[in-house]
Amino acid sequence: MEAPRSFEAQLEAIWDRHWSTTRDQIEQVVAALRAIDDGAIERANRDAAASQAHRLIGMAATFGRPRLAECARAAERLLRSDDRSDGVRADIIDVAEALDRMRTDQ
Amino acid sequence: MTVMQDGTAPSTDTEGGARVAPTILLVEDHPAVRTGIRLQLESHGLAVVGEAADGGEALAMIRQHAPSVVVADLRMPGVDGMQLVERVRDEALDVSVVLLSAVTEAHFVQRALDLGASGYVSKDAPIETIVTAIDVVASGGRYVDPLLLASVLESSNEQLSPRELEVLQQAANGMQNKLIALELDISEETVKTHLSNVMRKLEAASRTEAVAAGLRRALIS
Repeated sequence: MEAPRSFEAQLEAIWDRHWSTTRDQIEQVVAALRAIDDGAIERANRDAAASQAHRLIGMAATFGRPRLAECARAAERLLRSDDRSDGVRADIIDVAEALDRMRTDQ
Repeated sequence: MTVMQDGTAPSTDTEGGARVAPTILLVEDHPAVRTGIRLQLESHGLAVVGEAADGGEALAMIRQHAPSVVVADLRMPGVDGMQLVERVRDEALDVSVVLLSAVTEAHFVQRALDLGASGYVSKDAPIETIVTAIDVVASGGRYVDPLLLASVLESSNEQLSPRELEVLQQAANGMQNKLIALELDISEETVKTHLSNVMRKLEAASRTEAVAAGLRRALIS
């Protein structure tokens, strides 16, 4: 008979099961951030990506991925902001790169 | 407001000397997140008696299961966490609501507490903070995540008065000062004073900016 798994192992199993969906969400957020940088995104698409980033925060925080939660929070803030100063554009590029690395490194 | 910051295990809530463990309804639209939070709460010995995917479903389950504490997400489709708090208050349901959210701006926290939420915790918080919040509100107290508390206290210094909120809401409805004065049975000069105070408190440069800030902070609808 299989031994009962610890709750940490159960959490990891749920994370693994949803990773493909989570990875797609990260990809959408990264694409939206890059589209902002290129100046080629509609407001509605930006809002949709911000909602995806918001969901990522909850998912990452619940399953013990603080770095992903932090980047997703930064992405949501940038996607909801209309500030396009040089400093913000640099942040957009940094956050997009960090998220993209997390998507491919997992 | 009762605020515990030590992250200790649940204390006792007594009824005739015996410990009454809180019973919890979990409300979260993301199924994986809901399951994850449930697992963590149960690993701390807490009893999750039900799960709901939105505020509407939660209201039905509160009536059915009579949990002592509702732990709810803020942003959900349909009846969201803030609306759930309002409905619980309006229907005088005997349950404490802790909002657990990735939204951490002080004005949202303040608004939730004003509407009757018993607690507010960031989703980034460790599970021990959520457990403490549940314990405190189940004992009749109120709890704000220590990481959010400083900004909430800072922002509460500049809260709008009930009358200022009424004036701002009428302005958001597109009414001119004269009509607002008639509607609220005050002078036009008083309306101007209220709007001036609202603009100062919301750091808005114009009436339009004040309305936009009020909508953004969910002070008006």
